[in-house]
Amino acid sequence: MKKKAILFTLSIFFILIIVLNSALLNTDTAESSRLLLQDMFIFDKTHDLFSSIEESMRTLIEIKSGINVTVHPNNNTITFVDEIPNPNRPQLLSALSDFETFIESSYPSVDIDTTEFAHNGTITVYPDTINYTHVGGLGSNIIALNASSPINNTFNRTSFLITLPDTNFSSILPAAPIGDGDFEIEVIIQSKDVAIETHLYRIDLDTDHRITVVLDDAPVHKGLQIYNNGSQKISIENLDESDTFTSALTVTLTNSSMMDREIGLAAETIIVRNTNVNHKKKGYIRLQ
Amino acid sequence: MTEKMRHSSLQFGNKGFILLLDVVIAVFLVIVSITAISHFSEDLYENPLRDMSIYKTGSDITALLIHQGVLATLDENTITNGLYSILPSRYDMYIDITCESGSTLTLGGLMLTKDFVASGSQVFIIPDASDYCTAAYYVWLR
Repeated sequence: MKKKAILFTLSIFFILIIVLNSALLNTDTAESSRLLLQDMFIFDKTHDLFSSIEESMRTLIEIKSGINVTVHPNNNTITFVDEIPNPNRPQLLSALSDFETFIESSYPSVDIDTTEFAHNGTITVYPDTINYTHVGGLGSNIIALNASSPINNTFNRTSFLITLPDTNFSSILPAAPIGDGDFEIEVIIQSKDVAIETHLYRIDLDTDHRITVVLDDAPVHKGLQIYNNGSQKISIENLDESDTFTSALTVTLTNSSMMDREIGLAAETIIVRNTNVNHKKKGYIRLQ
Repeated sequence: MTEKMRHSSLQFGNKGFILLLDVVIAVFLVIVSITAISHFSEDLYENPLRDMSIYKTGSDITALLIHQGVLATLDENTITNGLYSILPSRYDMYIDITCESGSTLTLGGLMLTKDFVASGSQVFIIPDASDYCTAAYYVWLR
């Protein structure tokens, strides 16, 4: 009888020990989970605020800059539609400044820096870091596509759809398609939405080339010029700023698909901080 | 003989009582422990998850209202109708809109709950970029 009682007491004792251990373990795990959830909660809040600021800035930039970027994932192309020179610099600078002031005063934990874009209108294709930029600042008469490595590592073709102002088109020089290089430049000249000239040039980017679109009521220097300076830069220049041209520059990606890429403004432009957990979300504004 | 039986019965009765007491105490302790564990589990597991889910609901609803352009109308009726047409019936929500131009708008339910209220904030822009606004939202279970 005594043996049974001792065994019974020991059994109950062991059961209690197990129960208490599991309770302690459970509490410990639960506390870790609670802290983890608390962190996730803060990360989510930070991310949501960041995303909404990014979305607003994307809309603001599209409307105020007049620069339109479209990605066509099916044929691996990106199109940048812009005016040369871009006339929207004053209204863009004012809108960005107002937006930054409003957001930073509403959220002291947020820093927005759009200096780079406001001045150069630079749009970057990541991760290749190919920049679509206005040389000398937004509103200049030169738009360039440049990179730190040869452009044809990423693009093997550019197509310039140029809409002329009222002035009549005269000729394109050189008139005959040239070269047997592996980089294609297509130039389509149109007026009032009707394609009037299409030229295809196959050039070697290691050699400098110039393609000039000449307008009829002017000397040769009036019009547009498309040129490459080596393999890292292709530019389009308005030779006379008295006319404004619309340029739709389409670049065709070489190997990988658009799925691997993002298009955004150059440099890190939005920072959202949360001092409670020392968390900071920092990034550029994605346009696509 | 009778004396011996009475003595033996008394001895067995004492042991039985102690054994019963032991069992009662043990069962009591087990119940207390299980209750404590379930209490901890409820407090530490369920509530943060529930709170997170409340927050996500508020965040998603606000993002959807922005995406659909409902908040950008800055019209109280349109936003209220839009809000309650997508907000699950278990939840209620309050939205406070402040714009750069100085216009403000508050709408939604009354925060009478003493339970958890999740809050967050998002930014949106009027379609022609003529104004920029912040939408602070508060969401809770009815």
